[in-house]
Amino acid sequence: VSQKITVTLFSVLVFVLGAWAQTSPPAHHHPDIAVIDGEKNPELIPDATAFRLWLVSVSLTPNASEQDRKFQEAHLASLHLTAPDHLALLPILTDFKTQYLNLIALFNEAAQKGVQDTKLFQAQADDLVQSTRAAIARQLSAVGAANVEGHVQGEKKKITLHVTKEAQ
Amino acid sequence: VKYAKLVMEFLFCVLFTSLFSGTASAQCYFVFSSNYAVYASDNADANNIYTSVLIDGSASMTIGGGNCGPGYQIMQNQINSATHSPSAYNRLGTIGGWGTGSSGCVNCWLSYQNNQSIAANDGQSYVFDWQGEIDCSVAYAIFTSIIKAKQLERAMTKEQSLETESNCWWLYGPINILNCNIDSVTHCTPATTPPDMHFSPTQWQVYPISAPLFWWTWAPCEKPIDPVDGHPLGPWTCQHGWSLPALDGSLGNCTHNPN
Repeated sequence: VSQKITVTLFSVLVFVLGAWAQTSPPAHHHPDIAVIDGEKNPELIPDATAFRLWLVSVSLTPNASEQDRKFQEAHLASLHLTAPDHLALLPILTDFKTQYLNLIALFNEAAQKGVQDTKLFQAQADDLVQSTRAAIARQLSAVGAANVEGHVQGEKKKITLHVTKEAQ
Repeated sequence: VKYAKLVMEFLFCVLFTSLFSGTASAQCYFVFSSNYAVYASDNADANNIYTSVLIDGSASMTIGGGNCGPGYQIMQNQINSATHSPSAYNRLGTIGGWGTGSSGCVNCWLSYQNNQSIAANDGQSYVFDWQGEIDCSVAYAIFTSIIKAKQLERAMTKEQSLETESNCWWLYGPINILNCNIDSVTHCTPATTPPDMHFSPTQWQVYPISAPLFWWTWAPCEKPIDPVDGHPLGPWTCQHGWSLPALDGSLGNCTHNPN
């Protein structure tokens, strides 16, 4: 009888352990992460990514605060633009910010429903960056547009990308 | 026979527990991928140093494995209810720190920027540390970028003209003006030599007003440092700045922060 009790108790123990395993959090599968450090390898930072980050960083929404505008002025000062080029750049940046935030809002609306398309979003963001660069080239002087392009290339060393290998 | 019966009973119990406690969710797992960028920029004007840390990107969380059974819905509910929050660390001298943006769903695109500024004294260097992070409401920091640091300063250097003119160009208007590039050497006290920054040539007007023989140049400069011990990892590099004529030819007290 005692042996039967031992076997039963052992089986209950196995059951409890099984139940505990069931209620513990499911495992996470984290793929390898590739880190691209622009300080060491600026050539590995894609132009579209560098421009997107720079444009997001220096652009403002139409209702930006005075403090935000001071930040923008300080960051744009390093472009050494003429006054007309500077004035031409400001609405281009505002337009970029408005469109970028709209893209994010649409993407996140889809993500909340579980139907997001990350590749499509990245393609749309790249298109927006490309059209913004074209607007800069069209509306600023040749020297001013070249200053912007050169500055963003230099900013690559201030960027770090962390991408899981599946997402690359 | 007795032992064989006991073994059979044991095997039956194990089979029973396997059927009822070992649900299919144990064979499923969260598959996580991410694509985040961290961009840290800095600049300076005549009064302040400005720093900005941007984190921008998204993650993707799905359910991997087969035969999930009822566990699939439990895991899907966890994904649906969890949120991710972007944070950026921007410490400039004695100000700033962590800032956190609006949270979003686990698969949402997140973009958050933490800006800081400090009234900067000429020649004083300020440590700028930065990092990006994404936190999950039901787990932990799902993404943490490498922490980085640099020293920032608004450097000033006194320059002495070599009176060599090159690349001259006329600016035509009510008064015609001639600008030229003029080469220079640093003109600092022994204690502040070599200065952290030196630009040559500098563009000056040479007609109708002649160029100065001595001038001061200010520029925002940076030097990468080890975020743990502050050890320099490279030399000072400076952006283009601005210059003003010096009042006299005495040796200047230039910015000199070698460590």
